Amino acid sequence: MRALEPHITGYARNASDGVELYYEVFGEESTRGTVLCLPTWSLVHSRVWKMQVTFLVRLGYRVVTFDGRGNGRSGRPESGYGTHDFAADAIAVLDAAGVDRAALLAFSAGGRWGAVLAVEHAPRVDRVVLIAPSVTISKPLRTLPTPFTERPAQRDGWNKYNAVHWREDLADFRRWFAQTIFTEPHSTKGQDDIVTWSDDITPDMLVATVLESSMPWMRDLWPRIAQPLLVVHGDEDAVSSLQNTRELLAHLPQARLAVFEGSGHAPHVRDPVRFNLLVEEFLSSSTGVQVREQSEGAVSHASA
Amino acid sequence: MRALEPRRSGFAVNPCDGVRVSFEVFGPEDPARTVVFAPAGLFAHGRLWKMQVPFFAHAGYRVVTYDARGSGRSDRPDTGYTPQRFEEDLLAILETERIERAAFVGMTWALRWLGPLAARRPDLVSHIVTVGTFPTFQNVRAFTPEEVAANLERFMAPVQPGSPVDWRGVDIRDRWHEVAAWQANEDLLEPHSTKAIEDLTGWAQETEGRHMIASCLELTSGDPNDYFARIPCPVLVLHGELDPAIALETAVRVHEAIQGSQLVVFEGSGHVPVVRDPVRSNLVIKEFIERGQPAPGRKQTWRRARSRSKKRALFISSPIGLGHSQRDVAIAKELRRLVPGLEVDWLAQHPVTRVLEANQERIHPASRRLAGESPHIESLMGADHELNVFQAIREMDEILLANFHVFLDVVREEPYDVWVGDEAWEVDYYLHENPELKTAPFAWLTDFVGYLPMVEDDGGREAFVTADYNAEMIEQVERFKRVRDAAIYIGEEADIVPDSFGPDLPLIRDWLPEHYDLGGYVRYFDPAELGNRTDLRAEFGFGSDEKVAVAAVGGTSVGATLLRRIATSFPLARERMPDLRLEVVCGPRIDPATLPRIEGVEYHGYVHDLYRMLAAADAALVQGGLSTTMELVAAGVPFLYFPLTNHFEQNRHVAHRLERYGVPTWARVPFTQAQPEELAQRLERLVQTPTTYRPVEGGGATRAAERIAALL
Repeated sequence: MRALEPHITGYARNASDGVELYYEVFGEESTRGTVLCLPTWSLVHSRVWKMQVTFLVRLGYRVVTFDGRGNGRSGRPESGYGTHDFAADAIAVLDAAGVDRAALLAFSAGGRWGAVLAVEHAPRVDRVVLIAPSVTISKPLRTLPTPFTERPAQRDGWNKYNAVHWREDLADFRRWFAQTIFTEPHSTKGQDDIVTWSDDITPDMLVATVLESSMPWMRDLWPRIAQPLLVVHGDEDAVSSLQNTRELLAHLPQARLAVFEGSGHAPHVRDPVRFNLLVEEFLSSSTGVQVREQSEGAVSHASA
Repeated sequence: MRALEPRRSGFAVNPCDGVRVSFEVFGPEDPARTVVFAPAGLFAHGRLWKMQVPFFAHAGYRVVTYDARGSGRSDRPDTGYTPQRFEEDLLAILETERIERAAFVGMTWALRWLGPLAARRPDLVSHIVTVGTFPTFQNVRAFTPEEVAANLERFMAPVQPGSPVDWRGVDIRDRWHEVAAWQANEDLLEPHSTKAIEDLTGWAQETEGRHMIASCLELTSGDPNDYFARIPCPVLVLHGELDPAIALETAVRVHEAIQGSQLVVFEGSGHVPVVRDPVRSNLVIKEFIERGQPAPGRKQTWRRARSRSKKRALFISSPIGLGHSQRDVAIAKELRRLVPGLEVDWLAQHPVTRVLEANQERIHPASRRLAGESPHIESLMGADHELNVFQAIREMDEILLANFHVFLDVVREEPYDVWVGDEAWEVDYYLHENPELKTAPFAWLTDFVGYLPMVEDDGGREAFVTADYNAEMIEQVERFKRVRDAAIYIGEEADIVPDSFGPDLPLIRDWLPEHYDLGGYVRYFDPAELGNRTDLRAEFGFGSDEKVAVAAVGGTSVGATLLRRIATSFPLARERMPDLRLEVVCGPRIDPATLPRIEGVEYHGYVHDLYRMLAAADAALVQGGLSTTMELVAAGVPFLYFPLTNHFEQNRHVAHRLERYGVPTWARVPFTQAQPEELAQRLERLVQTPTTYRPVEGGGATRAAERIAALL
């Protein structure tokens, strides 16, 4: 069972391509505002926020989550997995749920649609939390050992991040990637959840998300994020690098970076208490004053 | 030496009357935030805020303090002490320092110029904090010159020679030092306040009686509080509960008059909490300035440590298994005996709350916010009396987290002297994951240590995962020894299973005694006090000429399948034993109406102190939970027990312990064997076989309570 069941569930429709988005609303409309938990890479669906939802609702926020296209109960088009497609989905969900403005929680790839929403739909976004953003503005996050669409000779490490391998053994990739997300010891539950939440996706969908993810315009868009911004990143993240995040933040003086030492790619899952308390503090700090928060706060995963 | 020297000091000149006001600036040169501390009128100048200045400066604020005109290094005019003048002084400082916006913190009189300033210049004032507020509610309008004269006359009325000093004009004029010392003594009523009293008395010497008198008269003469309704910024009213200078009631009225303001009461505090309880004051003020509003439901009172006469314990009792609550109630009773006056609150959910209510225990209201653990466990039970409880707990991660956050909310708001967690997995786990959140001694209780695998046909996955969970627990406990101030194993060394925690991990038997106190079993009733058996049987309507079997399955609804099986097997058993009848206790979470009606079978809901009914029975049929089976051992009643399939605790830990107490192996019935014929046979054997149990020692609750009391 879940810690909290949604109060409202429904489907929003992306008007431009008709894709249906399954969303859930937790908690009542509240003066404290709404938090929209964006989907991340469609490898997993909205349950990836299960450690945050109840906490935020108890704090008095209304929380909206939705399954990213290609997973969960949302539509699964053959193509249409670009950054702007996901951003448009988020707007469709906000409209359907009757939410004018929200704070965004975005994880990994979700950072890309989060950035687009913050800039191109600025009036609807009052602040932004990014976890380990998979956002690039200068050079790619990593060079794959074998080009993505070519058959890799070996099937080890990042050779598994490959269209041919996904079509041949997606289960193997899902398990490996779940382990790569969690570098912390004793993370079997988090890893099992990732595997479970990616249970019924197709290789074609996943390949499409990669092939359609190009975003050369991000270089111009990124520095225009004007909302208060909290970025959380683990210094042992094996998926997206802390160094990349530091470079991203050099463009955003208002941003606050919290480094979780000893943490991997998903600190909100593996160290949920610390993450939640940090988000509580960030969401409730006053907006009236232009605050330059401490540029960096480091916390250590207890076992590190 | 000061904790922090000012970066700059100077004078601002009031453009209207030329009076120079001395100010000091601390902290960073080009900060985003400024906080201005206003003096408490003339009584205490800028040094009043010495306990605040370094804290805010180090938190990144530019901090400004100043001496009110008439005191400290500021000019001391004979007249000119109206709120208007004070407001102009402050504006002059802001202008001199080019401060465009700030939060303002003031004491006693300061609201009289901070409030009008905020009303007139909302651009300048982001927040107001007013401490020990003195708002003069009595003057709803400005005094006329005649009234001022009358006030002066009354205030300056002659004093009988030899009478003790008081806040009277003549005393202030002639014996200011004595008046100041007396007033400081009055204001700081907290015990052990000598330093603060001396400081205040000393600062008061940096004004003169005649200026003090002038300020008293003029500050009350001007503005009649009509600015209250016009303050546009957030206002925090911080007041000592016992403030002898300005009653709390006055602060409450200010809070009510200023719409949207917040009231924070320091319980046990006098007039100057910012001096006497600086840490809490600083945290409250900073949080207010940075957040504007507290989370809903956050408590707005804080009781200072010295005023907490009663010690308080918070019990967190796992809802999985009713036995925890019984033994925890027994331990709490002992603890109250050992620590007179101890208050015990319970953070617990159904069905534990059922037992707590029956025992008139106090359930913390936040318990309502706990996410349901029993419904979750029940949702994962299999069709045939099956429950893989390890996997169920593992799947409960988000519920455990949600409940840890509830716990954290409770202990952040309410200072307990000890936390006691009986198999409160979320508290123990997340405290080890976040040891910096531990703010009270923590006593941890459990009757088993070590997850053990039950599933065998999964390629070793469950064995791997249970070992990984055990390894994590071992690493947590060994790395952060300070989390558990007491760890009490509810059992004896021989009760520990012979298994290891997993491959390359220690034997549980070796590791456990090094990291736990062996508290012995907590027997929460004395079999000797159950009284005459005939009377006890009569109490439940059990005749001397009949055999009564009682079936019970603990606190969750997981045992419903077993009860149904037992009930439907009953007719066959009765054929063998015509004088047999069956009493089925459904517990708090199974509806008796859902079970079949069979002749000779009676159903009960929740039975308080079930052990008494069990003790009166001729035989019992129960699940494999530790508490109920041990009640039966203690009472010497023969019983069959049916561990839930794949339930590692019931099949491994409990079964091991029961064998040690002399419960025969055939008394343990795997559910697959629990067919009517087999049940009837074993039941007959049960009734005919005298028990040869080892006695269950008493004193476990006392031993556990003594260990916890040592933390108090």
